[in-house]
Amino acid sequence: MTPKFSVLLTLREPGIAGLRATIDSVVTQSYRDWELVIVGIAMTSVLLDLDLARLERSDSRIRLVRCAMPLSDAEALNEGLSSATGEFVTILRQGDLLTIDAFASVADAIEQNPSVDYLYSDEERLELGPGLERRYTGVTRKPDWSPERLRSQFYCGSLSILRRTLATEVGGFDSRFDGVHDYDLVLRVTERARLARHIDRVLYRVVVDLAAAPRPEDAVNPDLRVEVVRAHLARSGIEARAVRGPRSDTVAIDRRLPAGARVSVIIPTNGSGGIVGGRRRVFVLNAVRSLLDRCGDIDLEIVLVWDTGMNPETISRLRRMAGSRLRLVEFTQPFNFSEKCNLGVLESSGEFVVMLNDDIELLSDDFIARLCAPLLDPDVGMTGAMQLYEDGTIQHAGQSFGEGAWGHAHIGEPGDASGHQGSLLVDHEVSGVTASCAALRRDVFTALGGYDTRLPGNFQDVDFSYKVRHSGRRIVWVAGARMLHFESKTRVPTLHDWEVAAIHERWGAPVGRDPYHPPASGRERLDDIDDQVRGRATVLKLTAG
Amino acid sequence: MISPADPIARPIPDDPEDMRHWALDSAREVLSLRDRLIGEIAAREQVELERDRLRAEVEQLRGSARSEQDLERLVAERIEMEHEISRLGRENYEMNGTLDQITSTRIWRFGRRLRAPLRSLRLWK
Repeated sequence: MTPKFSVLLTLREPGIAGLRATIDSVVTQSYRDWELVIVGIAMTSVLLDLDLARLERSDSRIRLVRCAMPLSDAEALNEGLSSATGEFVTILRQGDLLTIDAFASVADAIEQNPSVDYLYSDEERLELGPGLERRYTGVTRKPDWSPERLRSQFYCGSLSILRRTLATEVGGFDSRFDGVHDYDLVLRVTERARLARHIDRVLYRVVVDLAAAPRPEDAVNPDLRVEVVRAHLARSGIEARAVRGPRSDTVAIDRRLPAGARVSVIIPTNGSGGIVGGRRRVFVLNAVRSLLDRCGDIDLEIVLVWDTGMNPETISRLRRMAGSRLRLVEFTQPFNFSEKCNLGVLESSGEFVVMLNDDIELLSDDFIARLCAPLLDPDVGMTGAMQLYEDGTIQHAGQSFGEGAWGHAHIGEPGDASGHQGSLLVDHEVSGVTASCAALRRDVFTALGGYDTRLPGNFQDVDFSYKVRHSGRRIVWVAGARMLHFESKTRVPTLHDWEVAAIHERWGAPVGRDPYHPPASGRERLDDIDDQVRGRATVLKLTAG
Repeated sequence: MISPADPIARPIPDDPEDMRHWALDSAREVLSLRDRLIGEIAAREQVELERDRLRAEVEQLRGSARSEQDLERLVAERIEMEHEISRLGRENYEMNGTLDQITSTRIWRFGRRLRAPLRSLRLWK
C-alpha cells in the first residue's frame, strides 16, 4: 500500500509572492498520492480567493480551508491538520519548493521502514534578488537521526514528515510556541516515535525573497526556543537547566549527575614527561592537578594504573596531591593500553568510569559531571570530549567512520569553530570517541567486554565504539567538556596491517559517508530548478502578483 | 574446553592476596570472553552482508551481460565466490556455537562461584 501525504500550506500574506511556484511544486510531484490543504489566514484579495477556488475545482486533491478570524501559524496549521486525511503530514511554507521527486523518495523510505513515524531530508537554500536573480546559499546536508542534537537545535528543518495519527495524538501544533511550533511538534512526536529516519537527499528548497520582509521563522525570539526545550526536558524526565545557546538557533543544556553518584577516572601512565607551555612537566601530575581543580562537587575516585619502574617520587607527589581519592594499581606486564584500562575499571568502584590519558589538562569547570551526565539516558553508551592541541586547534571532536577510513572529525580546525550548521556548539551523536577521554557506565563497559586486549596500541577505541553502537546504544560528543591533549600535532600513529585487518574482520570497512558527520555544504545543480523558480510548469494561473 | 590452567577452572585459593589475584584474573578472562563473543557475532554478520552483496552482484550481472556466454561465465565466477563465502560462514557459525557454549558456561560458573569472594574484594557489585 502506498502512503498518502497531506501537505499543509498556510497563506500568511495577502499577496501571492512565490505562491504559484510553491503550489506547482506539489502539483508536479512524480508521486501522485497526495493532498494539498491550503489554510487561508488572511485571504484579503478577492482575486486570489477566486483563483484558489478555481484551483480547488480543477484538482480534487487540493482543498481550501477558509478561516474567518485571523489565526496564528500554529492555529492555522491545526485547522489544516484536522482536515487532513493522509497517513503522513508535512508543512510547506509559502514561497518554498519541493523537489519533483520529494514524495517518491519519502515513500521509498517508508516502504523500507514501515514502522517509521518521522522522516526528514536534506535541504537547499536559494535567495532571490530583483527580477528573480538567483543566489544559491548552498545545500544543508544533515546527520542521520541524532536525538541528542535535536534537544539543542532543530537541525532536522525541512522537509519534515510526521505520521499524522501521532501528530494528532500528541495534540498537534502548540500556539504558545508560534514561530517554533514545528520544532516543538517534532520533539513531541519523536519522544514517542518508534523510528525516525534521515533521507540523504535534497527534497526541499527554502526560497528567500531578499526584497520581502524577513520570514517569521527567521525572527523568532530565542527564548521561545528555550521554552520549547524546557517543556521537552520536563516531559522526558530530564533534570537539567536550559538557557540560550551560543547561537540564536541553539539551546544550551546544563545537565548534572545525581548527588552521590561516584565516578572513577582511570589513568594509565608510565610517568613520562614533556614540554607543556614551554616548561618540562610530568604529564600525570599535570593531569591529576587539573582533574582535581575541574572536577567540581562529585564523588571522585582516581585509579592510576602505573607501570612497574615508574619514578617513586612521582607516586609520592600524586599521593600527597589526591589523598584518599587516589587508588594505585601497579601494572607489571608488557605495554598494553587496553589491558591497563580494563584492569583499572576492574579495580575501580564508581558506577561511572572515565578513561583519561595522562598527557591532558582539563579546561572546563565541572568537566567530569558534564561528560557523564548524558550517560543517565540508558541508550547512551559512551561520551567523549572536545580535545584541543596545545596551540588551540581541534585534535578530537568525535571520530568519523566513513569513505573507507576511520579518523577524527574536524581535526586541525580552530578550537572556536562552530562546525557544519553549528554542530560543534551542541552535544551530538558521533560514530566513535577516542580512548584518550571516554566516559561510560560501568555496566556497559563490562557487558561489552571492555577494550580488546589483542589491540594493545591502536584501534581499541574504534573497535569499542563499534561495539557500543552494535549494542543499540548511542555515542555522544559533549561540546561543553573541553580539554587540552598534549599529543604532538605531527605525530603519525604507526598503524599495523593486522590492526586494520582486525577491525575489518569484525566490522567491515566503513562504506559511504559517516552517518553523523555530513560533508560540508556544497551547491548541487539541479536541472529542474529554473523551471520551478520561474513557475514555467504552471498549473495555476493567478491573476494578481 | 576449559584447561586446568584456566583461572576460572582452578580452585579458589584460601590466602586473601592469592584470592585477589585469582579473582582479578578471572574477571579479566570473562571480559575477554565477552569481547570475543561480541566480535565473533559481528564477524558473522559481516559474512552475511558479504554474501548478500555477492547475490546482488549476480543479479546485476544478469541484467548487464552482453551475451549468454558472458552471463554464464560471470555468474559461475560469482557463484564460486559465494561458495567460498558460504564455507567461511559455516566455519564461522561452528566456531561461534562452540565459543558461545564455552562463554556462557564460563560466565555462569564465574557468577555462581565468585560472587561472594568478589564482593568482599570490591570487584563485583
